[in-house]
Amino acid sequence: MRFRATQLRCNWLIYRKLIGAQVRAQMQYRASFVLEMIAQFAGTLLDFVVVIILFSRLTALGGWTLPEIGLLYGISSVAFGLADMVIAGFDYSYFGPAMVRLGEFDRVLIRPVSAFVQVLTSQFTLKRLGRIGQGVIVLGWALIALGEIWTPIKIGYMLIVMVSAAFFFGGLFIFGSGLSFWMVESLETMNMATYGGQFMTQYPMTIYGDFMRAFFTFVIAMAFINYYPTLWLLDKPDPLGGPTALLAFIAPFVCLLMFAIGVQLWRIGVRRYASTGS
Amino acid sequence: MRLYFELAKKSFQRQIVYRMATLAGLITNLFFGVLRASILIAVFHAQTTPVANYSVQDTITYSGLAQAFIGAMAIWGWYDMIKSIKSGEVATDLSRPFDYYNFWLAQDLGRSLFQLFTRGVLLMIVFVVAFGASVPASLQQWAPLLISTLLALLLSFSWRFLASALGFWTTDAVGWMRLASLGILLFTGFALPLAFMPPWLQGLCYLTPFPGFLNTPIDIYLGRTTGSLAIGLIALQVGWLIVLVAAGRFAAHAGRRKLTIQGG
Repeated sequence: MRFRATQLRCNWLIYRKLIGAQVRAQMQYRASFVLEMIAQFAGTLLDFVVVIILFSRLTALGGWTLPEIGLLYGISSVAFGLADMVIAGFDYSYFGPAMVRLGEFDRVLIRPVSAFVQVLTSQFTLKRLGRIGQGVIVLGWALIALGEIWTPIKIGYMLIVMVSAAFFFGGLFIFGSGLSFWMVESLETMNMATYGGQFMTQYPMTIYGDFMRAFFTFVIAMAFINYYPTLWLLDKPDPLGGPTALLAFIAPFVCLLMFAIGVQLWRIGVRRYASTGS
Repeated sequence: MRLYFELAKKSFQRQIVYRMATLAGLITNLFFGVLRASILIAVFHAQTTPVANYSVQDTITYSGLAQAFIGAMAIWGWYDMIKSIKSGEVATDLSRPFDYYNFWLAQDLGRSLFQLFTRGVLLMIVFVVAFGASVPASLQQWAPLLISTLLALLLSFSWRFLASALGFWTTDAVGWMRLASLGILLFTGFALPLAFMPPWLQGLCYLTPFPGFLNTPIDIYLGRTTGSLAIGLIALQVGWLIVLVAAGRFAAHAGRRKLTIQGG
């Protein structure tokens, strides 16, 4: 037990040092960094601009008003941005080709530090602050526009949901990296779960067809990222008659479970890693 | 001319190697197409004012086509030329006895035609069979459609070349490319058909070259743009193409003097 604690502290120190170095390195190309952050900000905000444009013709979409969708959007956007910034080392579009296919992962395995910590510290994409920033703005607007519904408990619950949702998205990226030990070429399909999931969770689940909704509740449990929690926050009944309070209560646990599944697959993948032939 | 044809052919063939990647891209595009179509259909059910005579079928078809063009137009960005500037390879390309602009144009056409005929066409077949998307019925539609699509591919290339050429000055033009993609996402009608936008925003879009990248060929496909309107919009595409090609060629010519060769 004592050994475990020292190891954890040691990993934390290494993490802080390496992430600090990453951040300083990214600030070297200041102009490029600012440009990419602006592009991130505007590019992701565009999704909400589309919602606003749609609402120029509507008062409600699938029974949801604009601020209500703003709440869904904000939670999903901030959570995804956080995950994408912190676990960028596990972004499979980088991990698969660079680490697995080229055999760079060899280098990770021979160092006397946990492989997980090394991959985690290999990237830290600060420019994602652009995505997080726009999510925070939309969320802040939605919070104000929804006004009276907020209680300290609801605010606290929302923050928990946001963090656990970030773990969910992070778990999907780690899952993708794990898959890359088996296949690299078709990794783009993981984009359906990650970017697709982020896009999908910006809208209430009810607007998708029955098949998609069932798939994203029971197989990849996307509905727990923000849909059920938001139903509870807004005191909306589940159109399919589910127990909203219960579903909202278990949502953070489901998110953590998805994260654990991702990490586990990655661990299995690491054991299977056989380097490249050359 | 022969040289550029060969370059295009080689680039087309190179794509064949990435079969699995193309298939993965196709499945992903399909999925996003279904998501976007679901959202627009929900708009139909909730709308208070009609959406410019689009039917539900038109909307499904539009969502499919927009996704079908992703690969061909490299909507999420195109980094081949930027990479060659960053690595210093550009020095060899510039010293070879061919036209630098056409060198990239030929290669990109090969790439995008492959993407269009595999990923794009397959995706539309699935959309027609599984989701009831429409197919242009009359031959009078197909001729302007093909012309307009080719022009759209050329427009897309000329825009990406222009963004990449900024790399002659800044070495790393990735940020510029990302910004260049932004214009494409909203103003082409990719994120939302132009017809779904309020009139002032549509007007704003038509002040840019972007509707010609996507919205014009799609509206011709849907049979919503016909006759003299189609001819007018195609003429607009040609006009913007001339402007963008001239700008790209000028940028590459001027940038050549500013270029710092990397590596060694």
